[in-house]
Amino acid sequence: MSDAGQASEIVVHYDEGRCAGYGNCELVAPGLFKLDDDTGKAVLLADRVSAEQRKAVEQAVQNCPTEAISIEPANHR
Amino acid sequence: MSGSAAGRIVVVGAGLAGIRAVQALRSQGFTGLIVVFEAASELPCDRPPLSKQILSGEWHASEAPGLLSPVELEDLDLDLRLGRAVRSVDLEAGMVTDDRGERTSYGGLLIATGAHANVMSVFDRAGTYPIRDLGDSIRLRSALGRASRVAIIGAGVLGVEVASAARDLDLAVTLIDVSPAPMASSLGLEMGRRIADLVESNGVSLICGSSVERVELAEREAGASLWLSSGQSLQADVIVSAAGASAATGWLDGSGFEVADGVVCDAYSKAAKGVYACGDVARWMHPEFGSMRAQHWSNAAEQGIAAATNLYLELQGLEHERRPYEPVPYFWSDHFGCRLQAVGHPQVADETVAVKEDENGTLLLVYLLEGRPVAAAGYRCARAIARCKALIPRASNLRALLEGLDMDLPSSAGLSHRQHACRKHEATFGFVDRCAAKLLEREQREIRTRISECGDSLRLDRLQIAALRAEQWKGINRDWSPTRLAPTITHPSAMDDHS
Repeated sequence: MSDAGQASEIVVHYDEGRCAGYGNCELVAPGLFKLDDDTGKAVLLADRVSAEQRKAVEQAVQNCPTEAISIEPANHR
Repeated sequence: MSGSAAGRIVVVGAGLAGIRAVQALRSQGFTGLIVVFEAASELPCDRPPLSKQILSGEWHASEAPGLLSPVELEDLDLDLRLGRAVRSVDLEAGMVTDDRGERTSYGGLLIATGAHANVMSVFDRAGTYPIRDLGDSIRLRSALGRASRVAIIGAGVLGVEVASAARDLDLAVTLIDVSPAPMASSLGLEMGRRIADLVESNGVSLICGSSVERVELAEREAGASLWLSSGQSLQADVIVSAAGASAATGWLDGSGFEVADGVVCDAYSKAAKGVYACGDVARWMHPEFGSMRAQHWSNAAEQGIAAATNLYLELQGLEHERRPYEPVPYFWSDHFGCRLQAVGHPQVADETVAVKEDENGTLLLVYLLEGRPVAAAGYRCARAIARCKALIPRASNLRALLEGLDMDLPSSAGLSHRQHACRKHEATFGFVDRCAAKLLEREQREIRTRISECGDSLRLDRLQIAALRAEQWKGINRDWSPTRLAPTITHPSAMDDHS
């Protein structure tokens, strides 16, 4: 965890099968998640985001009641 | 403080509410010992897929998601006692006794034992399939694989989801409920009628307003005959019992807790000094809508966190920092390729307005109580529903809610005749529903007579729901008097004569 801040990009995992359509993710990270009206599930708009967006992603992780979202630091490419 | 009983929290039940509670305790810095009792021999899995992906066969049983990964479980540092049920609580001594007679003292206790599936008395449990845990789901899945006809008793969220899974398997499905429409007792008639249309258009034979009076299991082969109160009878290879669930409170008998269809708690989810309850088992006092018990996935998750937080504050002597539990409930149901979503408290509404509806199955219903939005539900309106969660507690009327959603108020002219009729009906009889919830049996009969004198079948249907609710709530809020209902009942019937 301690070296996570050094990664220039973070990878977002989103498990659509767990999504219950609360939409909290879109509320806290609107550029990253969008609820799909038809399916009632969230759509992940980008699975790699810059480190500046870490805060928003962490908010999305914390606010997802179904724990469908997780983060891992990107491997150095 | 980790060694002493004062620094020890006992959690009874490791379902969603219990697990979220221990996660909250740890994330808030509780470092003491946490003892978790779970009657099942394995940690329960996450339950929504049991009536969806697992039952339909889309996921193998081994894919049933756990509530925690092994690493997460390890990190929580629990004293996890699987296969051990708590038998009683000694409130004065601050001690629980488990089924081996072993006593464990606690500084704080969290009750999270959930609920048991109701099995109607006409059934021998052996002949029917409830769905409550992974084993139930696997057994039913296997039985459906050998069946061609299935009867599902109860057209609530679970019954409709099972019907959908059974149709996916191409079975002949009959869905039976005493209410006038599927999910009517939780989402009202307006939504219920639309769900009825959806269910029937997917080839399910729907029998509403009827109860099962008698079941005869076939002697040699699998299957049974069912006789309904409507006079109909049918044959089924498999009978699914989806007739709701009751709070698992039997183990608390004689322990000094107030139990009335759930452990009775105050607005903070507190049941006694140092004891809180959460999830399906908890009946708490909602600050605005009064005594309630919720059996949604989201409530188990949210109340687990809320109750644990309040308990931990109490243990630290910070009672004044506790918060009342007043969630905006959310639930969803996946069936027939659609996702139904609902937020708020539809049961307290006295009016329903369809603010959006089209032929593609898009639907947004808003529920009002005395003009104020209290809930919203619909299909293919995920974003609006998500926004309603935030808007409903603040919007003072429908117009304000719709402004927040960037939508226009539907013109009265745009409403269909049926919608008009139903709005009037809801406005008139929403109160019967609410009041009847508080009635004692004798008083129910009085109302039933009065309403049947009006000779309106729709009202009788409504009353059936009300009577069911009253049974659920029996013994609670005894201060309500039936005499207050009498003049109001005759009034709307006089109004109807002019229409």
